[in-house]
Amino acid sequence: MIELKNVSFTYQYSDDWVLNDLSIKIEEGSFVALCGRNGSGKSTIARLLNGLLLPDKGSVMVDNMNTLDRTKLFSIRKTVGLVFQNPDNQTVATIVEDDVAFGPENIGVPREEIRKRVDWALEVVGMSEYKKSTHTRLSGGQKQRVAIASILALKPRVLVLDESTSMLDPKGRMEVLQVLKDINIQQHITVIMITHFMEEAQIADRIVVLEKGRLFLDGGVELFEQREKLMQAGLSLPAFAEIAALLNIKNVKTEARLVEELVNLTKSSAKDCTGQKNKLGIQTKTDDSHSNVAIHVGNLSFTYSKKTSFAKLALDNVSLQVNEGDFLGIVGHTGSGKTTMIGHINALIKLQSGELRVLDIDLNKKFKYNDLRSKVGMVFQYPEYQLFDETVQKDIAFGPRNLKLEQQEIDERVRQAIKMVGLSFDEIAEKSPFELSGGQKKRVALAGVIAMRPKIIVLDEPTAGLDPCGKKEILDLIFKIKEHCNTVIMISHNMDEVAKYCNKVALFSQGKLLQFCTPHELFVQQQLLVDLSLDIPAATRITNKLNEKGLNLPHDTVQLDELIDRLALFLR
Amino acid sequence: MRDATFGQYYPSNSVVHKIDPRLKILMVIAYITMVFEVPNFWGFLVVSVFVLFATIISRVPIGSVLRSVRPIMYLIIFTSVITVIFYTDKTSVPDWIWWKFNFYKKSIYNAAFMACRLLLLVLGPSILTLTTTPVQLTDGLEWLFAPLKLVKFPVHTMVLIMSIALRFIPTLMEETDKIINAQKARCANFDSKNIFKKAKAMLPVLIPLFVSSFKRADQLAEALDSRCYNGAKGRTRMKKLQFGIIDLMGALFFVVFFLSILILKYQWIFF
Repeated sequence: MIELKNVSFTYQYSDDWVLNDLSIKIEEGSFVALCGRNGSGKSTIARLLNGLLLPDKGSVMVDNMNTLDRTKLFSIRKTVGLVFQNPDNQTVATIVEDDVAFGPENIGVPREEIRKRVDWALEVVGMSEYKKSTHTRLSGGQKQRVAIASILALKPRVLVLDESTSMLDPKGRMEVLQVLKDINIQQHITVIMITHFMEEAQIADRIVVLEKGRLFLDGGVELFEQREKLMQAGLSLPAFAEIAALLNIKNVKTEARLVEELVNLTKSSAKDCTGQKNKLGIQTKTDDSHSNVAIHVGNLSFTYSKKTSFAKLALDNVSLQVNEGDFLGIVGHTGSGKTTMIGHINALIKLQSGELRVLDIDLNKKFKYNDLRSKVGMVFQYPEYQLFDETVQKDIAFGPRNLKLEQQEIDERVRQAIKMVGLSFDEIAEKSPFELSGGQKKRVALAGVIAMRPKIIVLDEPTAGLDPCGKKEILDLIFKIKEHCNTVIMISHNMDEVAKYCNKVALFSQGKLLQFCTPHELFVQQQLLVDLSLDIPAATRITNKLNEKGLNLPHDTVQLDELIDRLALFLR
Repeated sequence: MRDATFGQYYPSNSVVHKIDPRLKILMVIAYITMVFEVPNFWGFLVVSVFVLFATIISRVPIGSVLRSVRPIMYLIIFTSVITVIFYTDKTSVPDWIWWKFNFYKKSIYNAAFMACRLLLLVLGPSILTLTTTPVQLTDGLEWLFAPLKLVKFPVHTMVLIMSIALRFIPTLMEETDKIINAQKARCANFDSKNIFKKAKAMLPVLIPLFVSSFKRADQLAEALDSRCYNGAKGRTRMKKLQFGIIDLMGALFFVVFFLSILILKYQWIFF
């Protein structure tokens, strides 16, 4: 169906080959996951496939049409449909069905046929009941399903998704993946999914890994056994494969298989592990009665658009207390009140009812915004979007300057902040923030917050949309920053991250604080998380599966390292 | 979140929603001229009854319609106050005097009259935007502007740009909110009284907003290309504009209403 023959490609402004002598063949009807770290060339391939970009050397053949042949351009674009990363930036019309109709209208499909195609496409992605709805009323997952329908309405034979799940929450991601699987199996459409999450790549029949513009690995799920190589390509393994690799269990292709294998292995050595629980207790509850209170929240409630027909209760009688030195994770669905909660801490949202004290500032009384905001650093989603000044140095100095500090003090702080985020002052200070790479921008944005020398740092999904390497970098950085600024609060959808880094978790649902406890205490309540359709840490999920099969593992296993250590003891 | 619903389409299946957008646009133009023609408060009463009636049969919550007035509320209050305070009439005696100001009954009447006119000027068109999808609206405009195609005016392109602009208003508003919050968290001060300082304080918001808008535009261009967009040539439409029985009734109803205003204005007496 698709064939790349010795394709090389370079962007005009750079000397580096983004793709270097790459050859791939893709069969009709297959489901291919195209993986690789940022900058490995995978998004370029997506654009080569439908003629948005043309190869510098070699050729791209789509259904025996060469993309270099400009007369075939529309036939090629009809054959290969491309869905992009950001659902907001690929929607043309406000109303769902109008947007889906846009493609077929462009290629001159007759009126009755367009209607049929639109209804069919929306049916396939399960969005029929939203066809008259406006775009802004949809969730991220729904928007992305509409984007897929818009492409399906062109009746493509190949669907290419360029990191289309990376900006979605876990629920939206599941919705989209399910739709893709259906499209592949029921509609017989070839799916090429570009992703850097190996957990997602599992659903594909074939996994192609790129590194530095070259084909690096190519095969089925058996690729997961090549841990070293995948790590080299900047990817991470799905949890089950990580366990298998570290415990040296061979021929494990799926999670179910791993569970079976482990059950078999442990049958021979019928040891009971429960007695070792305390020995293994990796995270014992820390006694925090002595530390100082950083944030006190008492009976906090908040309603948006109060006194109008649009009134929406966003926080409902929330009480909690964060101590100095805590790493608090805030979890819950989109729209559960998480963001409203953290907005209060920085007085970005005005207190309506309830008590709120942050360090020594009582928000119920009169206070200066700058006093509060210099003590609480906020890092929002995609913080690189806040950069604006001519040079990195000036941008980072924006916060301290607003605090009306002495110039010398400002310089000192900027230097220190740049150093703390692992960049070099001499190299970067005079550059424009807009010429930096994505990762560097994120670091500079973080430095802009650190330069205020906050006592508390609040992060809103700091790792959203990053590849595994980028994620690890940022989380390690946050951990490093925590040494200086004691208290960290982090909103996250990634339960594995929460399990690994946080010592406390707050679970929100529909504006209510449902749970406030340690990660161990939260994640043992599997049913609660399932009911809220939230993720469960991989380690907990696998532990539960093993225990169902008769193993006797401590059920409060939340970290992968923990589980591997425990299993290793078991198997010895 | 905040005012994302302002002026936006409100999905429903009412008669008003079904009326041909071309007719609705023409009616709004007629409505605006008419509001300027209204001679007295009885006229405003008739117009208000019309707006209320249209709102009720459109099944749009009255709150949503009233919300459209909010942006011009300050303008209305400001102009009313100015009119009342500074109105002078050398020929007659002020009705009240307070400190240096003279108040006339007539000025209060004038202010109220103008306020009513402004309010109704905004309320009517808001029913149009609330009951018409942007695509219908732009299709209607494309039809109405079709004669311009004769002089090679790119009507279709202009109309597509308009519909994309409408589509991105809420997205960009949301983004602006996010950037403002991010800069506020860095102790930015947007409350300065000095207008120059205020403009300068907006730079940290405007620059990121521009940068991201360009990025969005790039990505949108790719998406348009990928969906085979090639201008108006050979394009078909899913929804055909059709003038039906509902439109005829709507038009008739509107004409009756229009005539009643003219009767009030010119004191035509048939009986």
